[in-house]
Amino acid sequence: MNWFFMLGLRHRLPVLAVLLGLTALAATGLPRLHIDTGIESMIADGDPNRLMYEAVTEEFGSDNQTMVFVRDKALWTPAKLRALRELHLRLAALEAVESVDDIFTLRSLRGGQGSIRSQVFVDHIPDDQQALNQLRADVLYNPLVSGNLVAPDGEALALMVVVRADAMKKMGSAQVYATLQAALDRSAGQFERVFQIGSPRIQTEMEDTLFRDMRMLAPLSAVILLLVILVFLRSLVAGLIPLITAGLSLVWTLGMMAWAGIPLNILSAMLPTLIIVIGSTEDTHLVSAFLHEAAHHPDREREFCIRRMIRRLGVPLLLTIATTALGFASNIFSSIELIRDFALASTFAMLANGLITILLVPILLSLLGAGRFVAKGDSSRKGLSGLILELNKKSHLTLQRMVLVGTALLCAFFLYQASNLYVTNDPMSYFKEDKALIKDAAEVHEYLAGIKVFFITLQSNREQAFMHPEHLRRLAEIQDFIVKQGVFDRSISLADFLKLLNREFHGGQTGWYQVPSSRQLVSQYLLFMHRQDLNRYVSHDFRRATIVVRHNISDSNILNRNIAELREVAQEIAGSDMQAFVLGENLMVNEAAESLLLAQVRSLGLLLLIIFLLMSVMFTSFKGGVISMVPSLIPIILMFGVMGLLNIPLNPGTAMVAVIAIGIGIDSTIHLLSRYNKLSRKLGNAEQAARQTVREESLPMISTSVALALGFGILLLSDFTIIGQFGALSAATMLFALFANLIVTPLIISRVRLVGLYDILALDINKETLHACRLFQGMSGYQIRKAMLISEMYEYTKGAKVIEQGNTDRSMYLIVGGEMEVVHHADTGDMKLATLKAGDVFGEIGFVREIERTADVVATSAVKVLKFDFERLAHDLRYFPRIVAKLNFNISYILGERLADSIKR
Amino acid sequence: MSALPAAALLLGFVVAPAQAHDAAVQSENAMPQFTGEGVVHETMRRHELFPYVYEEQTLVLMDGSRQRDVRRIHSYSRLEDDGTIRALLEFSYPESVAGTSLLFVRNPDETHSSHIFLPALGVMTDYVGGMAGGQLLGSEFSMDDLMPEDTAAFVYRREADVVDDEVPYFVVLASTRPERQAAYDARRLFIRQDNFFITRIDYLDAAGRLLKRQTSHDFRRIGGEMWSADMISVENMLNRHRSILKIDRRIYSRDYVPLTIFSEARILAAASPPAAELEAGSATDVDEPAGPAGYPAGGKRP
Repeated sequence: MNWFFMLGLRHRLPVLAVLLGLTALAATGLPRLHIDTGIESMIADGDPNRLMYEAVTEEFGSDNQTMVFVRDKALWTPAKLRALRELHLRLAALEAVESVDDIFTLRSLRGGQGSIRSQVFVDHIPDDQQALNQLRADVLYNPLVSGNLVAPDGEALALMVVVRADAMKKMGSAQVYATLQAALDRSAGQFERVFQIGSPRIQTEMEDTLFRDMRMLAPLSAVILLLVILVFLRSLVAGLIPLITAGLSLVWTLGMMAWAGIPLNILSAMLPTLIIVIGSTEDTHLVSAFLHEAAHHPDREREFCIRRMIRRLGVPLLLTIATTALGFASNIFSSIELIRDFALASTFAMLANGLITILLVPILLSLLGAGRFVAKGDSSRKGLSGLILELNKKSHLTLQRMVLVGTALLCAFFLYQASNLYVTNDPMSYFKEDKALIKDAAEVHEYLAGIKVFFITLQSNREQAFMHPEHLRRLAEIQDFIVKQGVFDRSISLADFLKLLNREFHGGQTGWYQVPSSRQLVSQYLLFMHRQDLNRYVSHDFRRATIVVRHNISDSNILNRNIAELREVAQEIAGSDMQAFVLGENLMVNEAAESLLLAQVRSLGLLLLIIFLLMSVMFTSFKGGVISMVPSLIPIILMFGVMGLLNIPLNPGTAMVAVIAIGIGIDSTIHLLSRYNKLSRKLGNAEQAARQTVREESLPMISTSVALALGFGILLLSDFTIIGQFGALSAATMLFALFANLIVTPLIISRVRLVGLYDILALDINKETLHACRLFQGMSGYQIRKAMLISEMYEYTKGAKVIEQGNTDRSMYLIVGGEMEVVHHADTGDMKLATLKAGDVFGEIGFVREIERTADVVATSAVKVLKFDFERLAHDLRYFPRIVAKLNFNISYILGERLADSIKR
Repeated sequence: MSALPAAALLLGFVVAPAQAHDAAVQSENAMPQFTGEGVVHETMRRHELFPYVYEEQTLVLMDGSRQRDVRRIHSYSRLEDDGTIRALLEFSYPESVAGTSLLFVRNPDETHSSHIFLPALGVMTDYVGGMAGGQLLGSEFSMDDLMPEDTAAFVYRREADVVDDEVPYFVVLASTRPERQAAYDARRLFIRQDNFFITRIDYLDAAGRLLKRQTSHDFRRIGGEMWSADMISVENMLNRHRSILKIDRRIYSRDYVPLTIFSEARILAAASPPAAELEAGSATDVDEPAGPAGYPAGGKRP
């Protein structure tokens, strides 16, 4: 694997050419990049209601209407009404517009004593005040209009614009919005307030906000990164290297998205920041290691330092890239296209950044160097790392237990808080409260029914079903239930029109505001309605009828709960001879929130399992895997607890924090455990090794965690709430992970010995010595290394006594280097029994059974020995029975040979 | 449109305010002696002033997606000597609306009244609506479309003639008088010069935008100078709805339109179920006209 890491260094020009070539290829795709801020991408795949929704909207019109809101205190004057009519005609004349429903097209139905008036509210604009007052009164008298499309006080009204579906597809939301806005701009100044609100505007604002975020967040992230690196590493080149790799990664990622047809969406606004921030951690580690080597070998050339850097960090680098990418990739299985597209793009970005880092950083360091890092004193003793070191140094058993118990209690508390977690997926909730769009929606809701719409459709097999009063009453009953629920603003159906006609044909008496009693009366009343009045509420053959419900609910939790209840009741009222469907694009988006939670659980579970297995393999023990989970689980629990405590919902942004945080946080854990393992072998003392690990790793861990937290914190400046929440939670989680890695994990690992896989692979062993050693006869290189790394290395000076006659212990030894002699002390004098050299084993009888040593074993030169403790070996190798069996066999063989030798002598 | 004797036309001249005036006629126009108002009066004289007309009509309502509703109507219209115009529309199909009647009366003093009878309610109710371009009973027609022209309500101006398919047309702009409220500001009439028959009417708003278009088809000579169309189509340009009125049978006879037909007692009595009959030869649906007859292919377009 070394050749791969050395590729950039050994073949600079070709590698540079390939990298630049790929970058150019990616860049050519950029013009193909397209944006998707459509609502459809927020709906879960396979939503069972989708087909029915499409059929209903094709028949009754879309639930995505654009409202033109007009407010003016003097609305009911000839001048204002003329201006309003001009606006209506301008809108209706637009190619993209299918129809405009307002007081110029809606029907007034007014009855008096023996009379009935049925005409469009405003077919001409009166000049005299009395007629104007009557007009206003007629409008406000109509229950289908008042409070729905016209404010109860008459000071505001809506023009409902139905945009042609093919126009939205052909022109795109931005152009449709602009076209409508151009028509509205000519009315600016004629009314106190006039604005449009609806799907074209929402999508256009999402696009604008997305681009604004990308333009702002990326440069800010770069500046923050540069500053952090300058503070910690004091090297400008060290700051530029991550920016170069991030820049290339971004071009590759956007190019891949363009060629693969993956659209930019609102989550993509985070991509530049994520690449810069996350990608920089590995660059920082590499540069830091390079500077460390350069400081320790000031006279050596750069290439030497780069090689040592690669040796030290190569494999950990691969692992951290893999785990980070895995974290992002775990979102690929989301059923929401928005999240899935982002997952694909971000996973590619992390992998691309990793590849570019591995290939390019050695080249850049060899060409540019990275300056000299001069540590002023023991910098690890200062600041936060110093505090942590002091804590570690002074901590004794009681304090350690208190920390562990305290952490457990904290986690329990936050787990409890996490039970308050709720899910939301409403697109309007993506924007901040102070955004003009949100304020406008609130203003509309102040005067009129909410802008969000869904349908309740009843379908019968019976021809002309909704000509029959009994079926019309079912519509009315459902609407009564909606009123009882008290969360939706208004509902309108065919039943309302007929109730109104019935009332007006009876002189306006309120007692007659009920569904007509006979089918004939229904048919005859309907003669007064034009087809255009009814298109939205009943099918042509009167087999299907729709209740149009308007609301302003942004909380998916509340909406989903009430919709579920409404579905049940609607079907109950509809009866067995009818089907009831509650449908709406907005509903499907909110219902996708449920899938967010399930996907979160699935992704998290899968990722934790993969990391557990990965770490177990890496440390060749499940214990290693379990311990690796601790610094991953603690931040996640704390993060969910914070969400529950602060009422932050689970949405498409925050839903990804957990898996991404694990993928990033595990990097520090890998560095920490890897270093600990090396030190524990070297020092032979777990507690000391843990403290030394913290001493060495605290500074880089703190610097990367702070850089990550600051980088994620930049996302708080986004205009999208979901991105701001993602940034805040991710920043917090980085700090939680730092706490877990530097405080909690050292306490746990000081009690545990781990063996790292890369330690095994990197171990430089003398093969000839080992293969000649009888203890390891018939064992593979891996098995030998595994057995050896469970042991402990000791060094003795000449004359040191390794085994003393008369002592008892359960250890045997393997000489790695140097010479020793075996001396038996008898009353008659000392007898030299054997001379031992590298590869020889001694003390094996004590390994087999507890027995007093029969001789001294003394170093005749400086020696290195591996000590095999029976208890430890038996414990640590219990999952490796084959290694144990071979060792036991070989020990038996050695003992047998000793016996034979003794007998011979 | 119904026909009336010449005396009634003269009477109309007497009672109508004599305020109509024309703009200058284009020198290249044919029959320059006819002003706009003159053309319209000649049209009325020839085709609309027969005092007793009975028609069996099929009304087809089509929405934007070409879904159809079919209604059948018995139409009675009568022009009295004093200029009073009475019209009765009696629905006979579908069965659920059979017996529903709309009675319209226009008095010599230009006042008018409408009354609707719903059999299911059993009472006659005054009805306001469906006039002056407003949609009548769910169709794109208004009451005025089915009545003789109310010349007092408009100012007529002759515009340049047009020729289409070698047929010359008068073009007359009829602007709604300010004191009259209507859903449109003006109508542009296309009248054949050979027989003074109106084949097309464009309804315009104040900005000259086309709101709806009425066209006549299958017109034929009834007798003398009198022509009549067997199919009238109206298309609403805003909502893309279309209404087609087909005349299945037309009888010009006093016996078919006695005065008693218009009485409340008769209307109430006639509405007892079953009231609808499927008569042989009557349409239950009609095909859309192939193209608007008399549509001027060349010349001035609105």
